[in-house]
Parts: sequence; structure tokens; C-alpha cells
Amino acid sequence: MDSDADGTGRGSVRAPGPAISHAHGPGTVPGSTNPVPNVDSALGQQRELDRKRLHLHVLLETSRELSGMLQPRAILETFLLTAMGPLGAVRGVAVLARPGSAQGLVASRGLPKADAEALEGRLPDICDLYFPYRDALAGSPAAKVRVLARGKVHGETPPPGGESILPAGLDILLTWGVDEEHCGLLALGPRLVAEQGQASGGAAGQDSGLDSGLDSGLDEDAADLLQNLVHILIDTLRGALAVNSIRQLSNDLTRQNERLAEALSASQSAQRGLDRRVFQLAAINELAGELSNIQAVREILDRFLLTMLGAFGAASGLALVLDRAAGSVSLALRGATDPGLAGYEAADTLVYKAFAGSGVRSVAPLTVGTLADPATALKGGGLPFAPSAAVYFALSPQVQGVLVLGPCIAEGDGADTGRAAQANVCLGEADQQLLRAQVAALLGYVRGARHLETITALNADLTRHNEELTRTITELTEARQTIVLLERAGERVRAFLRNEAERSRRFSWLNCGVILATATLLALLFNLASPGGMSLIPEHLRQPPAKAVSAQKARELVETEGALIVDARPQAFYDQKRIRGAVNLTPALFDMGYLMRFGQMPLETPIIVYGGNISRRWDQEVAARLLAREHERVLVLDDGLAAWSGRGYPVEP
Amino acid sequence: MRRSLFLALGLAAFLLLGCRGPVEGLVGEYEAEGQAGAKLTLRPDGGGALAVGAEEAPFRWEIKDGRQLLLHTRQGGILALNLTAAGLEGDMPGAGKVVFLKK
Repeated sequence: MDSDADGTGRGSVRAPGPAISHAHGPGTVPGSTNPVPNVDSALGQQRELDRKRLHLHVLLETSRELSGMLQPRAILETFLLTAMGPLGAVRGVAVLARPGSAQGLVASRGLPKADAEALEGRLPDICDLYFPYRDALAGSPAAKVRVLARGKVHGETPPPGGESILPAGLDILLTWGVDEEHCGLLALGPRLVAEQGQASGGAAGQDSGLDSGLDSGLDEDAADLLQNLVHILIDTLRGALAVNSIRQLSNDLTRQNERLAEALSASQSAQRGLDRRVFQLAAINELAGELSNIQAVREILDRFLLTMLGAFGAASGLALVLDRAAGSVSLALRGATDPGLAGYEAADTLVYKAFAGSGVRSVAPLTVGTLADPATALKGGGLPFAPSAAVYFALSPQVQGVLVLGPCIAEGDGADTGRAAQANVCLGEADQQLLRAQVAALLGYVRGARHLETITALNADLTRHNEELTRTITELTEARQTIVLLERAGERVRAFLRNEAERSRRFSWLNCGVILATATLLALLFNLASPGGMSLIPEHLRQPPAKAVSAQKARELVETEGALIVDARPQAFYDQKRIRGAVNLTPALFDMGYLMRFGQMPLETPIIVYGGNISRRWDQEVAARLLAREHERVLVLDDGLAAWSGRGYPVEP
Repeated sequence: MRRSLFLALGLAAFLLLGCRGPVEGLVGEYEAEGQAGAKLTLRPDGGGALAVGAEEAPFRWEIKDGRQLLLHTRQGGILALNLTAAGLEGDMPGAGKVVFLKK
């Protein structure tokens, strides 16, 4: 039943002439009983050659028509058009079906429109009826052409009162396989002309059984032609199906590529997002390590702000903590110049705007929230840059703050970017959640730093108190040592007093008198033996005292007789206050003073001496020495300088 | 005991040498400028006298701090004269400022 013995899936086109073999010998006309002359034989051979040429021409034209066609329906229709003519068929039906799915194409010519449409609708029945062998012959070459005898196909006989699947007259039936999935059916007939060779009933070529299945009016040459045409059709359909399959595969591949490109783009976007998130988390992780070693709030804010600017790609930003109880502000600002937010009033205004913009009515400790529209909420807050994200927080009802990020350096990623652009911010929702979480973590560090500051201050105060206590203890120790020393000294004094008391008990007035008498005796002996010894009795007591004169009389003597006034007091008293014009002549320097001043003075000149007190009478001593030098009129001023100055007489300086 | 005695003698000798002073240059006679007949005599033995005419007033003298000459009178008085390049200068009792020029 196979049409191609080589198994290539394609039947070989039989060449005209000698390749054609049938029961009749060369030069004989089938059906003739008598030998014909050579001319008739030649004419017969000529006709045979012409018919072979015609068939080859048909095959060539069919190949030309079908070559390059890619649409199976057009191929089937063109094939019917080119095959029906040479075979003389009035109607024809060509089916290309996929039995597995009961789908396919139906092309027809010469059929009424209703019959053609009915065939389209009965395609599953055609598949069930004409292609059941596929399951049994699975794995066999696909291009085998089978010739079916009309009416011998199982189930083809219409039921009583029913209709056959194929219209009547389509007696030439061939089925073939195109590939593993597609099968074909060709039905032709009836023929307009039945040639001489149609009744030959000979072999139908390599496709065994062809002669038994084909219409009895189809001769061997026509059968060969039909076989070759079908093979051309199979090849064309294979090529078309292959091209269509390739195109479909190409289209599928293109779509797959497009989906892959989209998936790749999404993957890259997700990768960028993941990279950014990894970078943010790495920065935040590093920040956690840094902040754990920082103890000052201002430094914590600065490091935190720097990390947030890097993690979220912001060009500028500020972090501010306001302590209303202490009236202090801790500010970290980067990427801009401080417009005065370090001041309490400006910082209070900014924090108030942040909380007012959040809509929070009451401030609970450890509150953290983001501002949906920071540009509007913080407008007029004195920010030196346009805010793109802001987070307010409260450490306690008295300690609040705000973190504000400025414009972003680069856009974000993926879907977040779209939402961010819509909200006029550069941080997506995930970024803002991350930022909020980090600010919440910041509160812990700030609270710890504030507690540490309090502890440090308490420690410093404690250290100061300890130092004061140490000093006090030292002073007490020294005082105790002093007390011990004083107690020892007291003990010594008491011991000394006791000893002295013991000695006083041994004191006797006799001893004292002996010591005094001995000392007096030694002093007298020394004075008598010394050439410069002093007189035991003052010199002025051994002479008659000089005459006294009152202050008034003394002034008269000075004014009338040019009396000389002598101040006998020591020079210190003389320099302090003296009678105007008085000369200082003390007993101690009497000899020198007398020689320098009085040596050439007349002896009758009156000399008035003053200066003395109840214990020392310098005036009397000087007066006595002047009298001893034979001055005739030596007088002592009564009551001395006091009487003189009491009368208002001139003194100096 | 002996050691303490040697130390005391050594200290006394040191004090005597230290207190000796530059007395040789001051020894001599001085005459008061502007005071006719007033003469001051410093003897090498530490004694001296102020003489006016035929009368004399003895004294003992010493140098204090290398700048002053102290005259100790018999009556116990002390008179200080400043040492100058020309001689001695100081306030004399009853006469005021007097300059003694070395003869």
C-alpha cells in the first residue's frame, strides 16, 4: 500500500517512456487484437510520449504554481485547480486535517456552496472516518499515500436515509500523511473523459493497491500523475507547514523574547531595588555600630544625618532635637547653611510646624511619624532647602525633633519612583517606612546619649563631692594631727609648768638677793674700771639747776636780746615739731654739737633750753653742760614746747 | 665639745675678718668745708676726734655697709656720715649739713 518504496516520504515521479511498464509490450495498443502496422505503432508511441510530456508539463506547472506558497488553504485550492484539469475531474475536495485535534482545512471545487460549507462542519467526522490508521501506524513514514476505494471505507456507507460524508461522484480518494500531526485527503471525480487505458486494471505503480482502490476509469498514467501531484502537494504542504511552524516559532520566540526582555527589565529593576535596599541596610548596619560608640547627642544626629543622606541619596538635610525643658537645641545640618535654626525660637517653630502638619493632637513618648506633604507642612519653617521627606518624633513630651531630607540626587527605582513622582517626593513608600524605622531606632540612641549625659553629670558632681569630701577628710586628718601636736605641746607645757612649779617651790628670796647684789657689784666695778664709764649720779643733779623762764619771757629775750633757743630732745622729736629757729643739741651729741655751733658764741648770750619729760630731763642735762662751759645766762623753758605752742608762738615745721 | 669649740673659734675669726672692712683708706684728717677750724681725725685704731680750735670731742668710728661712717660719742650718741668720693658728708648737730674733705 506504500507509494514510495525508498521510505523518504516522497514518491518518485515516474519518467515517461521506458520507465513506464505495464502488461502490454512495446508498440502494442492495449485492447487491439491485431498487429498494427509500424506507422500505427509509431503514432501510438508518439501519443504516449505526448501524454507523458503533458503529464510532466502538468507536474512542472503544478510545482511552479505551488512553489513559494505558504498558506495551506491557498495551496490546497491551487492544487485542486491544477490537478482537476489534467485528470478531467469535475469536482474535487482537498482536506488538510490534524486528527489529534479534529481540526483542519477543507478546499473544494465544483461543489455547491452548501455542500462545501457542510464539509467544513463535518471535518471531525472526516478525521474519524479517513484517518483512523494513524494510531495503528504510528511511527511509519508520514508521506505514505493511500488510495481508498469508495464505499469500502468502514462507515462510509451512509446509514439508511442518511447521507455520505463526501458528496457523491468523488470516487477517487487518496489519503496521505504530511507529518506527525497533519494528514490529507484528496477526493476527485467524476471524470469527463474515460480514456482507453482506464479499463486496463494494471498495476498502479509503486503505490500498491492503487489499481484496486482507484476509480476504475483512472488509468495507470493518470494514477501515476495523481500520485506525483499528491507528492508535490505533500512536499509543498510540508514546506508551508514548516515555514508556518517556523514563523509561529519565530513569533513565539519573539514574544518569548519580549516577555524575557520585560522580565529582564523587571529583574534588573528589582535588582537595582534590592541593591539599593542592601546598600541602605549595610549603611544602617554600619551606622548602628558607629552610633553605639557615640555619646553626644549632637554628634549622633550628625552621623545619623550623614548616613541617611547617603542611604536615600539626598543632597541636603537636617536633624534637630528640641529640649523645651532645658531650652536647648541640638542641630545637625548638611548640604546647606544654617539660617538660624540653631536658635531656640526658630527650632521651636520648625518642630511645631512638623507636628501641626502631621495632625497629631497629643504627643506621646517615642512617637515617630512621617509627613505626607513635607513641602506644605514645613513651609515657613525656615528650611534652607526644599524638603522631600520629613519625619517628626518625640522622645518625651518635652523633647521633640524632626528629620528633614532635601532634594534627592538621583531618582528611585521601579514602582516606587512613580508613586514618589506623583507625591512630589523622591522616596518611595518602602523608603519612607525604612526612614521612619531608622528614626525610631535613632530615638533609642538619643535617649541613651541623654541618659549618659545625665549620668556623666551626676558622676562629675559625685566626683566633685568626693574631692570635697577627700579634702575635708584631709583637713580633718591634719586637724587631728594638729590636735595631737597641740595635745603633746599642752602636755609639754603642763610638764614645763609642773617643772617650773617644782622649781618655784625651790625658789628662795635669799638666792635672788645674792644674785642681784652680785650683779650690781659687778656692774659698779666694771663702770669704775671703764674709762668711758658713766657717772652714777646724773651731772645735772650735781650742779645747781638752771633758772626757769616762762614762754612769754623767753620770747621777749629772743626778740630783744637775740637769745638762742636750744631743743635738747632727740633729733626725731626735733624733726617732728620744734620752736621756730631752735637748734638741736642733745646730751648724747653735746660735745660735737657744742663745738660746731657754740664754740665761738659769746658767753653772755642768753640760751633758752627746752625738751624733757617726766622720765628724761634732756633740757636740764644740756643746761647743766652749758653752765659747766661757763655760759652766763642759761635758762630752761618752763613747760617746754607745750607752753610755747600753747601761747600761739611760732613753731616749725 | 672640742669640736663645738673649734667651730665657735672659726666663726669668730670669720666675723672679725669680715667686719674689718676697708678702713685703711678712710684713716686720716678731714677739714670741714665752710667751717673754719673744724677738723675731723680718724685714727687706724678706731678712735677719732672732732676738733674746733683748741677743743676736741673724742669718738670711736666704724663703717656700716661700706657706705656710712658711724661716729660713737662718749655720751652714747651716734652720728652717721656718708662716704663720698671727696670725703665725708652728713648733718652735724647744731650746724646742719657739713662736708669734710680729706686733707
